[in-house]
Amino acid sequence: MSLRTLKFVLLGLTVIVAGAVGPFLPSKWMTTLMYAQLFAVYAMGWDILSGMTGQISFGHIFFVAVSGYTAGLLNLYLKWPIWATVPTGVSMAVLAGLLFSVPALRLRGPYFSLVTLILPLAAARLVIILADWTGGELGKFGVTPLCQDSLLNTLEGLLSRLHIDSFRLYQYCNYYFFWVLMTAVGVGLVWLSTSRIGKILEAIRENEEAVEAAGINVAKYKIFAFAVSASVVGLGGALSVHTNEAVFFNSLLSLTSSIEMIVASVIGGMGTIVGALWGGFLVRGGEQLIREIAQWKLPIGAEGLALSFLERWATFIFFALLLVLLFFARQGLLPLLMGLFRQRRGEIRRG
Amino acid sequence: MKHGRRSPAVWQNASLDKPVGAYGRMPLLKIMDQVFVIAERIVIYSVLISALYALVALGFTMIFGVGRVLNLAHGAFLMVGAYTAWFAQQYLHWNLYSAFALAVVVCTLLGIVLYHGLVRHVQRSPIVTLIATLACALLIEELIKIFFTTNTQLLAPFVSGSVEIHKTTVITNRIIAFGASWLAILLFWLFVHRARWGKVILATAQDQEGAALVGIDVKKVYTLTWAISGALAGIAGFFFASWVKLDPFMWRDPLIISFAIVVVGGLGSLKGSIVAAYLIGFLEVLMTYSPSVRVCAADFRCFEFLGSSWVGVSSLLVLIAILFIKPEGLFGRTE
Repeated sequence: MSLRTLKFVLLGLTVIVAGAVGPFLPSKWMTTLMYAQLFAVYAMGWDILSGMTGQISFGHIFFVAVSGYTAGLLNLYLKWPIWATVPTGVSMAVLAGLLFSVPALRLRGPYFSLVTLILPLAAARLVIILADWTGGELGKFGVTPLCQDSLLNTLEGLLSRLHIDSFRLYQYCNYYFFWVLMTAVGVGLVWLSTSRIGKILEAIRENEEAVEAAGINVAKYKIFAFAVSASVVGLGGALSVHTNEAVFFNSLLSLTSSIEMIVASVIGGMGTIVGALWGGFLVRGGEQLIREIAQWKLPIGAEGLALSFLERWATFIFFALLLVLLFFARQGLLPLLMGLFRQRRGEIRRG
Repeated sequence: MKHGRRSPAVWQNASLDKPVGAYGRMPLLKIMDQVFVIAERIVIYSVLISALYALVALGFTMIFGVGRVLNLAHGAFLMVGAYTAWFAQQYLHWNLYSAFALAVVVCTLLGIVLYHGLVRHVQRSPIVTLIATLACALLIEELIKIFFTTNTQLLAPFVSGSVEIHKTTVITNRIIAFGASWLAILLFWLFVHRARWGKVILATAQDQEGAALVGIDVKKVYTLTWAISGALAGIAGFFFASWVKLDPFMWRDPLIISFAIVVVGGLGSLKGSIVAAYLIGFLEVLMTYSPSVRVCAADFRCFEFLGSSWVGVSSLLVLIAILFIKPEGLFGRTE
């Protein structure tokens, strides 16, 4: 089985599971998994640039913000419809990626990471300065929803005999929308990463000079990776604005999600795309799981006390777990599994 | 010439409904006077705060220079120092001097613990190190949120009151912070260039393998640099706590400042850090006191152009500009 087939099989299995569990999820978990799918898209977008070429970007949320704020504000103030805002947002993100990539090519290693970390910080200041338009840290409501009533009404007519209430239907709509997005992005990026271009990107990570010496224009491929990455992440950002029906500072520009993208990709296995997708689910699902556990009723007398205690420690536990994971599973989940797989196959051959 | 600072009468004279010529050159002189007063204030304040910035950046740049590790938990060290001093003073009722000593000791230990417990094991992969140290910073933030809530606190100053320098009022404690920062920087400088272990650190920074070859215990040198970096952060944290504020998010600004300084000055260059600290500090203070323009759209939505809300933006933009023009920083070494 070639690497490409293996990755497509793994991607297919994940996508099928994510699609199949949808209808059986309780409402809260459905929202969580919906955002996990969006986050998986971000993580895969990060992976195609940073995981593959080894240029670690700390500020990919910047492209989410560019696209999200463009789409959201165009919709809020100029009343552009979704089919116009999303492509505009994505093209702005790509433009930002291209503009940034040309000078960024001169930077290597920690310098590149530092600059990328600074971009979202500067953007956050600008958003706060322009708070009268962007709503600052509180955000601004009133963006056209992705799943509009007209669409839902048509669906409701079709699904009325399934006894699904309208709120649930709305959730389904968003969930499967992001499911389609995740599947499409996953297929596209897995294909790209295992194609000739992907091999060149990986070669750049291993030894840039050697690639250059082979007569390949490194800069061209890096810029291409930048554009693809920005467009994928931007697409997620623009659509998330329409799902949230608001431009939220915390979802478009939080440094934490920028870091979590890296964490997701590292946990899943950098440069593997499918691993980044898994990592996205693990990070978002893990956060929710810890939050759930923190809310369990304890069979102890001082229930209230224990409850608030656990809730307060939830984030701490998450970061502690993350450290432990980084410590012990540094190469990532997918390479780990593939290593085990190869080992067993080797044993069989030898035996 | 009389200097009536901010005298309303002078400004009335300068108003436009009277012919300017009737009052000779006086209003212009007064305006110049005001400009000088503001310029003086900007210079003095930026000289003072930049010393603290330099102190913050020093520990950060040393760890990178010697061990090639970007310690994203550096701001968190500072925060631990600040909260330790505050806790000792507020709850244990220690005096400020012993609180200060405790803060430095705790930060030194934290540096050693972080190096031996975590960084030593992940050092080989820069990405994992970055994420791990950042996760540490977030862990510390969470711990402080849990134990001390998110309320803003302020540490009592060493000396209260203020003094006049020429025409500028300066809080005395800030002058002490300035003096202490420079003392720490000079001591550090002397240590690195004069003391035996300081030279060992320099040698390791220059060539790790070479240092190992001549019998230097590189692990021990790393431990020492983390301890010193922690101690410097502890001192800086103590003064940050009485100068700015204490809250669980206070580690972010110093970290960004150290980034900016270290990148502008060149990663791993001590001299560059100090020069860059003064550049960044000056820019920040300049922005704080620069006049702002309120720009409004037809629908009465407005934003401030320049002024104090642009404090972070200006240094970040300078930082990006310098990175693109001279990626190795002003005093950086080319690798």
